[in-house]
Amino acid sequence: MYRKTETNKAISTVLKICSGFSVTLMALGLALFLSKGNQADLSADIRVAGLSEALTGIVQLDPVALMTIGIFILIATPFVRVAWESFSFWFIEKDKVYALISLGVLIILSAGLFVPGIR
Amino acid sequence: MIIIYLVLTGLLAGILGALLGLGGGVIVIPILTMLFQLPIHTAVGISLVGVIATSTGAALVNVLENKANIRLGMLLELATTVGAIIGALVAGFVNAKTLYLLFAAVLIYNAYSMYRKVESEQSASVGTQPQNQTEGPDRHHYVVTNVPIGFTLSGLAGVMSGLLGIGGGLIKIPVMHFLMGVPLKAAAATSNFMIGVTATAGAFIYYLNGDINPVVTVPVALGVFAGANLGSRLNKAVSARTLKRIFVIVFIYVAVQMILKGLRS
Repeated sequence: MYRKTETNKAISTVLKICSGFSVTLMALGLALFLSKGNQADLSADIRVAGLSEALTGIVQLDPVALMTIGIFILIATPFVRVAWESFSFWFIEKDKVYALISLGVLIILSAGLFVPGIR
Repeated sequence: MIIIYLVLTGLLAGILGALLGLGGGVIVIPILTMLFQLPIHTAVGISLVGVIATSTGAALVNVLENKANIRLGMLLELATTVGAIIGALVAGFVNAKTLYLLFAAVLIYNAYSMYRKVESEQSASVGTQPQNQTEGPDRHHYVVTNVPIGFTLSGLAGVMSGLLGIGGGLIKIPVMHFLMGVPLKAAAATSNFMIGVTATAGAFIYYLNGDINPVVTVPVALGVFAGANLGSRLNKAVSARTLKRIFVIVFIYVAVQMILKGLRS
């Protein structure tokens, strides 16, 4: 029905890079958080204000900032994966039909972010 | 200590999610709300991150080993993503009790179908040819059928995903397996490949709204990652028949949870 393709390898590479960064940042952040004597308080409202603050916090090895960016990369991974699939189908496998299908998925995902009340 | 329990929760969800082609949300949400007493809103946000972690972790193995049918998955993602957005939009207008009970009915039907299939396979003679070469040495030799109806029902799976904040594998796998002729393991791998994309849109909204507490989410996500990798490797050792038996139990468990939620809502 289908064969192991260049797209498979490309997707695997993208997943490895994204998940590697994500897991590293999350694990480092959690380790630093616990090493500073903090406890996981489920009722506490722990968060960083925004992406820019989180990025600044990474440089200062702020545990919550590291975890926040790790989560962001994880959530963004499927977006990156679909974008890469589209690229791979089009330019590597020359399969324009599935390249367009992947692009369609990417457009739908992007459009979903701007739909009010999606939650 | 709470961190360890959260990691174990993620680990359990990741293993079962990868084995059964589920996002793990159906495991994470009941545990976080019932054992950790977290609000459902918080649990759903964490669950969506867990669903993405399951999908990513399992896909690392499934894609390399060519278990997931990427082209079929991508085609069906067109329907599931549109469905997820529609589902999320109409969620505010539909009675939650009706939704939960309807979903429970669908799950019980699925569990019954799986149970009957396991029973019929057990009663069949040893030399019976497996349908669609499910148990054959090369599970990639199958023909995908009923694509239009499968596409439509995948859209419905997306709607349910958007409505209930789950990956939607509970619907996609039976659709691919029973209707489209995809072997169960390939259907589970393809579903796992797809659910991350479906969950991403919702997870981003929670993330951007600051509703995802990193201290709670990270231990669960790390546990899910490890569990998903482990579950994908265990997939080799678990037979399709055993997998179906596990499906029946999971379906019934989730159905009971849905009925309880529905009656309480």
